[in-house]
Amino acid sequence: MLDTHRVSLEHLDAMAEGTSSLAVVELLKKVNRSRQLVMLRAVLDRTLGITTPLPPLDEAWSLLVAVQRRNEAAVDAVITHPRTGWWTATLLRLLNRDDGEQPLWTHVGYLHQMAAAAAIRAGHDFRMCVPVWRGTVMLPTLGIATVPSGAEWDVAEVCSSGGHVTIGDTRIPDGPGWLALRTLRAGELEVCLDDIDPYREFHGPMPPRRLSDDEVATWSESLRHTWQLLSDHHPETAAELASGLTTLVPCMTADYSASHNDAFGSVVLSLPPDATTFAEVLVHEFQHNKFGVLLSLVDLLDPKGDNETPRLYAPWRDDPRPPTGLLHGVVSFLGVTAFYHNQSIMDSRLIVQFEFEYHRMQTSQAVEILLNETTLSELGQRFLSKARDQLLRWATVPLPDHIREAAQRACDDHRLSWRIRHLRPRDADVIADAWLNERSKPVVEPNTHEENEAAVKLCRQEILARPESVTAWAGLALASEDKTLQDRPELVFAVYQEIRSRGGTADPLRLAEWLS
Amino acid sequence: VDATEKGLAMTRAGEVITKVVDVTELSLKQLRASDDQGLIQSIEIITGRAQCSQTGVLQNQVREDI
Repeated sequence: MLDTHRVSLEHLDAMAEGTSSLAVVELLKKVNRSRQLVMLRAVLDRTLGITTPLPPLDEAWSLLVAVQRRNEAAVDAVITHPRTGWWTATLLRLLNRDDGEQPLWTHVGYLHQMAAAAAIRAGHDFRMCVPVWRGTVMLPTLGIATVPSGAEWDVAEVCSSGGHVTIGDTRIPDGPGWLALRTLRAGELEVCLDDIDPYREFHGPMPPRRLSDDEVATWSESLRHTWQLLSDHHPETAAELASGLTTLVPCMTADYSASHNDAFGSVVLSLPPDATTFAEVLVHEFQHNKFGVLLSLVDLLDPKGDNETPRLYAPWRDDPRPPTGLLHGVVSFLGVTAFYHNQSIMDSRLIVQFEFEYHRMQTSQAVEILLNETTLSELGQRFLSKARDQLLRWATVPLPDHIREAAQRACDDHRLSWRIRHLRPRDADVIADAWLNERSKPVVEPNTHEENEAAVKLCRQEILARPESVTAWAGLALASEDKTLQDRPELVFAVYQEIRSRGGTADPLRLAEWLS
Repeated sequence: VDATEKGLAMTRAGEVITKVVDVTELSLKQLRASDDQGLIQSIEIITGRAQCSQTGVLQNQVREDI
């Protein structure tokens, strides 16, 4: 009988408190390898009857078994490769409900690519057919080869004999038509810079976007500065990343970063503008990496609850999030808040203080939403209670008043805009009727602070000119400090739109007062 | 299991005992051939979680092209 995984409460508490811990990452790496193996077994069990133009899966599996006997590390490298995690999860979803446009056999054939890559790493002689997409063959952890093919999907043979490796006519690792994955090093950190894998951004396939030598140098320099910051001032975080982060995927979308629940070790990101931001992005996404593995072991949300419907407010996103996504966000921002807390000790810039306080407030809001609006498991209750305690401790950190006020205003602005965008009051038409027919509700002149009168006036004018401007409504709520506008901006917004659609008019603030 | 705390199976050392088996000591050949009931149950648990969860890609902003 196999033993089951165990997770100490000490490690769970460290994650709940946003604390970096090498011991936690070492545990999660082991769990991730185990998860990958279990998923591989599931893939083998569930693909038995699938016919493909490739050799039977057993043949690819046998190659992996043979390579493991000779060189276990070579097989481990491909099994724990982030792309393999994404692949097993994606294929199992497709086997459950094939709703993709891509032929299923091309997904199944990643096992053949894995086997070929492991065998090449081990210097093992073999022949194996693998899928070709638009004339390219990706070998995970190694690189991508161009082969002659005019078809969208095709098959090519990989051959290794006496140390000579070819894919079709392309010789690797030094022949034309071969692009190797490149490595960036900074201190103890060594990561692959993946600009070629067709699924590197967790969707696809997409063609390579090979960075120029100058671009690689820029990434390398930026990472070097970031690593200096992390290793000098955040040594525990640096130790975590050096142990678990394996892949950076450069992305062209500005200010973007992403990770995947099933792809431990990989971060997609655009080039951050400075070392502090780069470090923040790495912390943010690696927290997701860690939490994705933890969630393969334990349920923090009650599995019987509705955890997948996007319905909750997330203070860092403009769209409604499902409980699972919000929980992921909380863990990520606990790490980011901890990072800025440490950073503020040695970096006195106001922006660092603001980022700390802003993320603390955001995370506190989200923790309360999870505690009050989702169904948590006992372990989830414990986890979020620990998170709340940590956030309350951070709330006692001395900060200038104007920093707290600015962070609060940023949080309020986002919350108000989100409510107007996403909440649809059912009774707006009835209330509009009352307004139009001059029934009930006394109208009271708004009571605004003198210093905000100019802002109120501007927002009012903006609403009259562009009644659906969410930012103008949010601005009016903040500037006027009207309680109805701040608590239920979506109601005032919806009634106002309804009144206008019927040809009526209303002053935004008078309407809010009337609704109070 | 040495104790339970709020329904959680725990060891005396303060570890939560999960229902997912550790297969890291198995070779690939053993992994394929094993009929260990813990492994069969773990396959159901892990694939169930992977198949049910809609939270795959975690992005800092919504991208329309994904």
